[in-house]
Amino acid sequence: MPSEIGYLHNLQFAYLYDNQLSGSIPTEIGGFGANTVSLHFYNNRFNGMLPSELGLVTGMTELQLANNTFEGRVPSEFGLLTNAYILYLSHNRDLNGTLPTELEQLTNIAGFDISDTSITGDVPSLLQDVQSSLSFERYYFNCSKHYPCPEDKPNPGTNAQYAKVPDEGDNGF
Amino acid sequence: MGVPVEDECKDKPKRSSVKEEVEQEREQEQEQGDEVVVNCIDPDTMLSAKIPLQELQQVQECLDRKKCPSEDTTWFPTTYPSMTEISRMPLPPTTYPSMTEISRMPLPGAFPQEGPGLLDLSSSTNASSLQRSLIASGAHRPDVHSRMSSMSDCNDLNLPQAVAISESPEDLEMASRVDNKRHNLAAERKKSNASFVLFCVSTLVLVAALTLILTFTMAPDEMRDATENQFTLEQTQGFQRLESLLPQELLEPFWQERPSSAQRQAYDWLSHDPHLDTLTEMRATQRYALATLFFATQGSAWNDNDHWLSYDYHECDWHSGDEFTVFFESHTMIYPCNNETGAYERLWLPNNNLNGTLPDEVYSLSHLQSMEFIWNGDLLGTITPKIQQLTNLEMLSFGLCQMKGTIPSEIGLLAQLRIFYLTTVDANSSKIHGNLPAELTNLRNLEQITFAYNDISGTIPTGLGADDEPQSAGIPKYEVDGPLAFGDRVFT
Repeated sequence: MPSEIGYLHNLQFAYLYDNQLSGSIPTEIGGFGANTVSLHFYNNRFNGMLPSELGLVTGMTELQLANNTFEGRVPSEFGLLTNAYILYLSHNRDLNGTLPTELEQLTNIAGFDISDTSITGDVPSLLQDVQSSLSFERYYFNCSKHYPCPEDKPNPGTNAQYAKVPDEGDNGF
Repeated sequence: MGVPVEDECKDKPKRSSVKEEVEQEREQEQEQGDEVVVNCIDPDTMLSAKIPLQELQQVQECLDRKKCPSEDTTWFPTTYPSMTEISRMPLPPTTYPSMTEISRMPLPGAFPQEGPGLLDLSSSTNASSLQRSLIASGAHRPDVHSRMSSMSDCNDLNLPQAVAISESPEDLEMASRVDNKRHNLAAERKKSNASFVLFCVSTLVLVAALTLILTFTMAPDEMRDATENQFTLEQTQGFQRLESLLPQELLEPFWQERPSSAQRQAYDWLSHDPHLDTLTEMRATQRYALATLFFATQGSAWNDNDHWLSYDYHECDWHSGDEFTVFFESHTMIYPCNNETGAYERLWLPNNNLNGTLPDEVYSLSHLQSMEFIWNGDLLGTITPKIQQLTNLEMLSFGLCQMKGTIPSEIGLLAQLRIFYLTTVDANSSKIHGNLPAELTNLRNLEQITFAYNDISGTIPTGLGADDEPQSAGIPKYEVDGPLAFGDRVFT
């Protein structure tokens, strides 16, 4: 567990989705601190283990890591993300093991997706009924009459691929 | 006695003509005693002569030599032309004089009638008259050449000069007449040649004129610009008025810019500013840079271009910002300048239908703290290394625009940068590629970054988020941030 808290403690969000980024998430990410609200790293080529340091980003409200090639277990430290209401881990076929029971602490969770992964075992009851109907574009850009939402952009909030609640078929339950 | 200065040896077409004539006439060889006599025609003068074959062969040998023999060279050639050289030799003429031309040619019989028959070539049979005829007709003989020691190079081609065979007045007069006749003939040919040259030149001029006309009427803009890339006196004078106002880096491109370029239009616009004399360098730079942006992105078609390019308005009163909401926050019309200094600090043109390529001149707005171009789906361009000039920049937003190229490492020099949006407008737009520069880790004040919908590859720079001032274990260095003042924008 790193001792330092990063200078990027003012970071509110880092949206790197829909690129071709690779490599693992550096452990220094734990230095992003309490003000960080969301990390959107989905639709890239990230790999390696999910760093347990992500659990240090206690201000995290959204963690979207779908559609990469992460591997290994979901760290129990994710249970520290008590402010999180979005946790999307789907489409990482090499994520495996069972979900840590600590995820029961994510009392604010509104969207949870582990479809198309190799995660097995019981899904904490808190996460089982989660449905997400958040519209990404409308949520972040507050589309208005002056700023119509582009229609041809992927909308992770409503797209079933990302908002899907895991079912038994997908996870081998 | 005149010295023959003619030398045909290097006159290849003529040489070929002689050869051809010889071949043609050889069929009409006549037996005259022991000698075989050939009826020769000098292609230059069309004078004919009967020449003993033996002597003709000697002449031919001379003609075939690359260089005429001089007194100190051997008679026989020591080198022969290569196949390549031969292939480059001109071909014999394929055309022959027309009947009209022939009718104008001097008749050999015309001269003897006036003289003592010295040039009665048709009847020349003895050695003396053969020599005479050869000299008169401009043909060559070894002994003639041997006397031409001053002419080592056969290229010196002059008009054949007739040589009288004796000092007698009649002979001299005859030679003189032959010369005159030849000179007239030569003059006529020159005249004819001159006419032909004149015709060729006229044709060329006509073609050139037609090409120019077509260029002007049908060429694409670039070509037209190239031909119109000239400066009127007024434009030059206008530029001179700007020379004392704009920084050198903005003046240098002037002479290279095409007339239709945004820069040239901005120069023209600014040089006509009636208040030019009152502008400081800072204000002239601001007005020039903003005018360039206006022209480069079709400012006349912006959603809102109130007062832009108006000479009657301070550039700080040109339209700026808009009421819109992005990332939870509401933004309103903002005053773009510093209230006290008038420095342009906030370049905000969100959702304003900017259409074109972002010009580098915006990086000359060195006091800029923020650039907000979000939601201009037709705004193209790249972030160039010149971005480092904006050392006060806190916000750089090309959200939902069409930027391309890479993120320059110079971005790491913008120590104040807190917000950096670089998303593309849709899947089909141009995209940013390349790596995330390691220099991003220098930006310790980053609050919001989004590079979504691009083709960025590589890894997240290690150190992004790392602390270069480690805290003691277990004591988080949280700062309770109050509202962050940012222009008229407040983060809560």
